[in-house]
Amino acid sequence: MTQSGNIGLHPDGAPADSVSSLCVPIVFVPGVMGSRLRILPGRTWDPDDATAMGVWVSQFSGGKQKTRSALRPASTTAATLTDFPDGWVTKKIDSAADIAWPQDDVLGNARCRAIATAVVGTDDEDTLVRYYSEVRNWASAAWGFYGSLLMYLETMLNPSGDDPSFPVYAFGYDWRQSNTTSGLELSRFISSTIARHTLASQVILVTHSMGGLVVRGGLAHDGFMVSRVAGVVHTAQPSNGAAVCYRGFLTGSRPPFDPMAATKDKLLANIIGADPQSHAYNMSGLAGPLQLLPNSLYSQSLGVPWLEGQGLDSQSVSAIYNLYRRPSLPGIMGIAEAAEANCASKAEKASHQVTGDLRDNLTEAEGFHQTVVNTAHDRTYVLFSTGLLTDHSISFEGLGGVREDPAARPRDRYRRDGDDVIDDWSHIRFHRRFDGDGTVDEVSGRCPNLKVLPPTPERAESSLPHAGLFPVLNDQVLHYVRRLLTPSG
Amino acid sequence: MEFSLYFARFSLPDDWRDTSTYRYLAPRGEGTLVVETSREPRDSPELLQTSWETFLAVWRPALIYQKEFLLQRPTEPSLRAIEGELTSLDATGRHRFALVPLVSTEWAAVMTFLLQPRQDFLALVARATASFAFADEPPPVSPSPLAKRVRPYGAQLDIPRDWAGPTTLEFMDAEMDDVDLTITIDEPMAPAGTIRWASKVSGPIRILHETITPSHSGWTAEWALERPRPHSSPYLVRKAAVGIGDHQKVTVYGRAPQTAGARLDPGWNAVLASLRATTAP
Repeated sequence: MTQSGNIGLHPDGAPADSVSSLCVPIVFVPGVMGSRLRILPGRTWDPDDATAMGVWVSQFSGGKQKTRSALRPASTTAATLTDFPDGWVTKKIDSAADIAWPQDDVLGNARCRAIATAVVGTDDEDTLVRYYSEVRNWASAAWGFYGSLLMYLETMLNPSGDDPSFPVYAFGYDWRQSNTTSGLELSRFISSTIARHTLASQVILVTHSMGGLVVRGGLAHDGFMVSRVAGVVHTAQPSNGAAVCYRGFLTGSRPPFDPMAATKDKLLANIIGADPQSHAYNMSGLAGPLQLLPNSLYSQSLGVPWLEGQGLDSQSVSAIYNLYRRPSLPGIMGIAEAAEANCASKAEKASHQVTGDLRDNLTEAEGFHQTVVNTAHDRTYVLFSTGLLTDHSISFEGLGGVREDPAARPRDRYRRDGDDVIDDWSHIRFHRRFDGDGTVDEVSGRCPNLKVLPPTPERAESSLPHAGLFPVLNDQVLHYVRRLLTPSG
Repeated sequence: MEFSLYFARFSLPDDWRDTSTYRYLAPRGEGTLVVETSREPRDSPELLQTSWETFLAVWRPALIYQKEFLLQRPTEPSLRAIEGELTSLDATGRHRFALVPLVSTEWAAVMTFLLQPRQDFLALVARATASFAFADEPPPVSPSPLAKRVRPYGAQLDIPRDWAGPTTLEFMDAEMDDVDLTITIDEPMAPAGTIRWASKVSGPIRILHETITPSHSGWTAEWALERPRPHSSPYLVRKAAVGIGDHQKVTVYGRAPQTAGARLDPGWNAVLASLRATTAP
C-alpha cells in the first residue's frame, strides 16, 4: 500500500543524520481490556489499579445490572484516562525500569535518567513518565501490560531524549465498542499525531492482540489512513479469532481452563463473567470483544472443523455466524436467553436487550470479518508466542445428554483428560494443545491469511503468555520497527 | 429521603432505589475502601456468605488465604467478617483485604477493604466498622478525633483524614432499572455557557436535541442522544452543573430511554430543588 520515507539509522540503531529532516511517530495500540478508561458516569476501568477494579464486584441485586450497563458501550460513554494517580508512577516505574532492559539493567536505568534530564530537566524517571503520559497519551494504556515496551521503544529509538525523531505514542481506546469504530478513531489519532510534528508524514503502528484488529478495521474502512502508515508490527494478534472467546460462553472464566494466565488476566476475565450466564450477560453488549470469536478461516487454518461434529461444510463467514446465532448449542443465543431470564433487570427483559445486543453484535462481527478478512498493510510484520497450553477446538459428541446435578458444585463438573478438559455435565470436550500463547492458538497468531513481510511470522524466542509478552518481546519489536524505518524494510 | 455527599445535600423521592457503590481512596494509591449500600435487608450470616461468594468469584485467582474474624459495632454484640491476603496484580506484592457485612432493620451494606500490607490494617478495619452507622441508626461516638467523618449515602463512617472520599453516587428508579441519576462532586466548575454533553466521548453519537439554560448558580442542559446502532433506542440525557462557591460544583446526570423520560422527572426535580435549597460549604 505504501512505502516509508528514507530514514537513516546508525549501525546500533540510534537515529542518524536523518533526525533533523524526518520524524516518524510510533503509535502503540493495546489489546482488549488493556486501555485505561473513565466510563461515565462513575466507573473506572484501570487494569493497573486493583483497588479501582474492586468496584466492579457488585454485592447487591442492582449491582449486576449496573456492571453490565457500565460495560455496555450503547449505555455509557468512555474516555481514556490522561494521567496516573498521585504517587502511583513511583511504584510502577521501579518495576518497569527494572525489567525494561533485560540485557543491561544498569545501562537501561542510566539511559532512562539521562533522557529524563534532557526532556524534563531532572533525572527523575517518574517525572519523565508523567510527562509522556500527558504529551504522548501513555496514560491511556495499562502500564502494567505495556509500560516497559513504551519506555523501551522511546529510549532506544531516541537516545538523546530531547526533540525525538521517533516519538512513541499510545492509543488507548474504548475496547468495548466495535473494532471498526476504534479503527476510525485510530485514523483520526494518527492524523492529529502527524499534525503535531512538522516533519512527520507517516507513523509506524505496533499492536498487541485485539489492537491488530483495530488497525485492520481502520485500514479497511479509511483509505486515507493507509497513506499515513509506514508499516505495522502486530504481536499476538488473533487474526481469525480465539477459541477461548467462544469457550467463555460455555464455561465462564472458571478454573481449570487458564492455569497459565496471569492473576491479572484471570481477574479481568472474572469481572466479565466467572460463570457462563454472567459471561453471556456482559459479553452480549461488547461489540469489540465479540469480534474475537473464531471466524471461518480459523477452521481452515486448523485443518479440522474447530467445532467438531457440527457439519460445518460451508466455510463462509456467514456459516459460522449463523451457527453462533442458533438457539441451542453450539449456538450461543440460548445462553444469552438464559442470562436474560436470570440476570437481567425488568427493563432489560422487557426490551430483550441482552439477546438483542448479542444478535446485533454478532451481525456487526460478521460484517467486520467479511470486510477485514484479508486486509493488512503492505508492510506488515507479525510476531507471536507459542508453546503454552491453549484452547483450539471443541467436540460436542454428547450433546443432548446434559446432566444437571444440583448437589454438585459447578467447579467440580470439569475434569482433565490429558491436555483436554471434559465437561461431565454436558459431555463437551474442550481440546487444548501446547501451540499458542495460552489465549490465542498459533494458527491464528501466525495471521496465515495476511500477506506479511519475511522473515515473519516469527515466534517469540521463548514461550510467553498472551498478556505477558513484554518486556521479553521488547527487543524483537524494536528490531522490526527499525526494519520499517529503513527503505528496504 | 435526604442524602449527602460531603458538603452537598440533596433529596430523592422515597421510591428511588439505592444500589450505590462508592469508594474511599488511601493516599498514594495504597488501597481503597469500597462501600456498597442497599435497602435490601438481609440477615448477617446470609449477607456474609453471599458477599464472600461474590468477592471470591472475581478474586479467587489472587487469593492467598482467608479467615473469619469478629468485629464490634455499637448496635451489635459481635459481627462476623472475613479477612485475608491477595497477591497483587503484577505478582510483586500482596494486598490485605477485609469483607465486612453490615445490616440494620432497613438497610444492608458491605464494606470491602483492600490495602497494601500495613501493621494497623485490622485496627483500621475495626475503627471504620465501629464508626459506621446507617441512616436509621443513632450516630456512634467517633472513636478517633483525628478521623474525618463523612456522611455518604445512607450511612456515615469515619475514615483516616488523608483519605479521599467518594465523588459519585448513583441511584436508580424503582420501577425502571435503566432510569438513573448520578450525582458527582468536585469537578472543576464549568465556565458559563461551556457545559457540554461530555468531552472526549468515544464512538458515534447523534444529538437529537439540545437545550442549555442558566440555572441557579450553574447551568442546566438537556440532550436527547442516539447511538447509531440498530438495537440502541434514543436516550434522554440530562446534565446539570450546580456551582458551590467559586471552585466546586455538583454535577447531576440523569439518563433514561426516551420513551421513559417522564420517569426521570421526579428524581431530577427533587435533586435540583434540594441542591438549590440546602447546598452549603
